[in-house]
Amino acid sequence: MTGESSKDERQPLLSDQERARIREEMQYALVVMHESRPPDKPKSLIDKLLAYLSNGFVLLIVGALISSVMVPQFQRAYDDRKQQLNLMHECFGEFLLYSNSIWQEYYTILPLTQELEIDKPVYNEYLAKIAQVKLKRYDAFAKVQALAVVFRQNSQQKSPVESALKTYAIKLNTASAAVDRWLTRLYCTPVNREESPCETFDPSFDAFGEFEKIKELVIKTGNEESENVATLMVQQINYFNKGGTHAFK
Amino acid sequence: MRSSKVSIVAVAFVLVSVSTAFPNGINPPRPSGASAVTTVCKDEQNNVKEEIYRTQIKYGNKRTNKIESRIGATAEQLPLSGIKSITLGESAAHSDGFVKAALVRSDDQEEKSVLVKVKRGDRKLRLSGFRRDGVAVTIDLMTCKSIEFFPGTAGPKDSGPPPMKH
Repeated sequence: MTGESSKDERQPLLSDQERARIREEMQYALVVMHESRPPDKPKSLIDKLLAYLSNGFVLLIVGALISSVMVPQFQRAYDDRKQQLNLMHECFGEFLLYSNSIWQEYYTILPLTQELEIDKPVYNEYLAKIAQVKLKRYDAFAKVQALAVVFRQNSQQKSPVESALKTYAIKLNTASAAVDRWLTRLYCTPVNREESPCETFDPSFDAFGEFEKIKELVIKTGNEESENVATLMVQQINYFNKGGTHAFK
Repeated sequence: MRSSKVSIVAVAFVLVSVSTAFPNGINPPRPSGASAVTTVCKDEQNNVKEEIYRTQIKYGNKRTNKIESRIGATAEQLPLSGIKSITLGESAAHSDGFVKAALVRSDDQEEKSVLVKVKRGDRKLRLSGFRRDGVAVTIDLMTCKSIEFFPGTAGPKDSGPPPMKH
């Protein structure tokens, strides 16, 4: 009895035919599911790159590259620019000293306008005073000239600042030469002396009238001409400071 | 009293007011005696005898930039730069050192008869200065029949002297 009942339990509940049918239905359902799913989109280049970069090792390499190559490069470029800007400022400062020297010369000889003539000790005294002013100017000019190279766009071509500086220097030298000539003529031209201490002199020299001309020249050079160059320099510095190149026009 | 002070300040302000923001220097005065005068001494035939730059009047070792003239009882010390011409009317000075002359001032075109001093004591007044080339020259005032005065140093031809060689 017991042997019969266990034999029945081992018998399949479904017939083979049913099993085959169920199997076919399942297969059909799988095919339908697969067919009904939307097709996978192809990955874009960015997606691929991001996927690639999200890799830890790749991230490590990229980070190392940035910190060892690009950061120093950017830092160097920044430092260079800062240095150039500092040199531009220094050039401007020296130019102000340089341009101011003509006023110093003018004011040095001013007391002599009240003299009709001067003797040798006075001439030598003023000559020494003017020589000091001139030496300081030459020093400032040498610095300005050297520093003005920083305004160049390339090393070969002179910048507008350098050209303006050269034109200005010629005008300033003209004014300075007029001061020098005036002092010499005041010394050489006798008024109350019997004769001139110099080998030759200009009897037509009018000390006060000539000083008035020098004043006009100094005022023009010291004001208008200086302002033109200073304005150009400041514009260049400003332009460069805002991220522009030297090629300001 | 107060209003006069205010007006003085206002006048002073107008005098020093300027229209420029730039440095404008200082305006010192022209010192006395700084105005050079060029004279032309002419003889009786009106020929130029001497052209003297930076002319001064010299007597003995002394120098002056003024000529003494007299009209009646009024005596004047005329600066050379204030005279246009003097034409001497006599060939010898009076005992007081004056001679008759016709004088024209720079600011007055009218010719006036005056007495001009050409002698101080026993010293003759002389025109002293330089030729265009810088050579010192001195000439007795009385040797000129007429003297023309030109303010500045340009001279009558306005050509100016040769440039100084340095």
